[in-house]
Amino acid sequence: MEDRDIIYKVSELNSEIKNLLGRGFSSVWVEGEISGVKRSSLGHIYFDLKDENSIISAVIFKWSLKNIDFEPENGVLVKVLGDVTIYDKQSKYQIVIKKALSLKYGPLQLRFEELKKKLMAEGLFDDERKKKIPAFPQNVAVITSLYGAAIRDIISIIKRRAKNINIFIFPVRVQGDGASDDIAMALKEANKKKYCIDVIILGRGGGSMEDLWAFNEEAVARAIAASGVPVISSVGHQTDFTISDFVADLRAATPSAAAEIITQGVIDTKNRISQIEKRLISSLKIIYQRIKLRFFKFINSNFYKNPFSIIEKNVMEFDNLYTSLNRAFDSRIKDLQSNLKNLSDRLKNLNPETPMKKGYTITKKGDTVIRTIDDITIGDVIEVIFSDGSAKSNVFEKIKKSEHEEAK
Amino acid sequence: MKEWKNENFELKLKRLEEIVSILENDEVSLDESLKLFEEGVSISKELNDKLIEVKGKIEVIKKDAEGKIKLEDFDDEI
Repeated sequence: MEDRDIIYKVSELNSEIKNLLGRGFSSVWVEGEISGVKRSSLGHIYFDLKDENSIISAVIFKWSLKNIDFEPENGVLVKVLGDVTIYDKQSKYQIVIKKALSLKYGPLQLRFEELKKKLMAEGLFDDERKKKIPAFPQNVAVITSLYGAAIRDIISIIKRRAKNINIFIFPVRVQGDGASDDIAMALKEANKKKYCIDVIILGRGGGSMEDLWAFNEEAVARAIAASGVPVISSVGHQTDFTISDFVADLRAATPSAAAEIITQGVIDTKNRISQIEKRLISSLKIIYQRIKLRFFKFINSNFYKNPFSIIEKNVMEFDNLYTSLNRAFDSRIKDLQSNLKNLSDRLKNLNPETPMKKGYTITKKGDTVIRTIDDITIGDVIEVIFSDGSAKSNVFEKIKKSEHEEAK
Repeated sequence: MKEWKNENFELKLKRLEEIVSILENDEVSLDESLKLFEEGVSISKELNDKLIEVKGKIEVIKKDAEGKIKLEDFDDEI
């Protein structure tokens, strides 16, 4: 191998290195912090092992998992036993872990837990400290990178839902050295009166714990706590929690969710107005219908069709009544007249003088009218009264009708 | 805090709701109802304009070399 004239093929060189690594670094113990855990669909687990300065790829194959008594998670400090090998298709070396022991949290996770504990003890996470997020902000500050997905998402959501809102972007580095100072400065700047900011959205898109680390720095936490303007923290994805999230007045799962929260008031109001508009139009329609109905009821009435019909009807009724009244009156008169005639006829017949004119006489003895032959005796003086005078005479014979004759 | 939805906006929204409830519940004459309707439509247009037509600005607050803050319009193409 010391011969400079040897020319390897790539695969030969990789194969040599693989052998070398296998001989020198088989079954080695190494200590480090787990980061960037990825699980393959076949059940193998890939991640990085690292310390402050360096990093090495690591894999636990499915069949070795039985030798591990903890869940491999980001930030966990571990001691592992494995073989260093090269995956020669990518010229990348890695440690294939055969056994691993958890040493509890790594430094990053430890710092996170310590700061969280400290700030919580100071009351920085208390609900009483949380400021209300305004429902209708006019001026919104966005503190994030100009070059990430978050700024795009936030702007497009705000403009789609409430384009009357003014957006002030405070560009910051969101990861790496200086990011936490940038963020703390921007929070301070956004609080200046000249911007009249109503709410601050602080955030960035997803990434590893290292990527999101700036949002776990004390400087950022203090700047959020000191902000007079309400702060919404939206760092990474739904599952990522940072110190910023705990200190902020509200945690949104993602930057998009933060943009939705601050525009919800506008959306609600838009809906409210469009509801009222619908009611306004339908109420007028109902009023119009009601009046139309009344109008048509009138149009279709007999009175409107022939206003004289009522008078005509009355005239005819009057005419009928008048005629029948006359008729009734006439016939009543006629009845009366005939009754009268009848009565006077009967009256005429009752006058005693009427039969006397025909030859009948009245016979009296003294003042008594003689009605039977038995009232007189032979020798009596009787007075025979005629219609125009009287004669006194003596009775000299009495002839009484025989019973027999009378019976006839 | 200067939220855009000030008292005036809220008052107008209330008036709009009042108009609708008068039209819905009271027997108003056709003339009166047309007057109220016109008022309602104009208020709702005004409120909508405030929500939809008024375009907010987007500005980037940048520091120059001397650390002075300056405002820049946000370039949509960034």
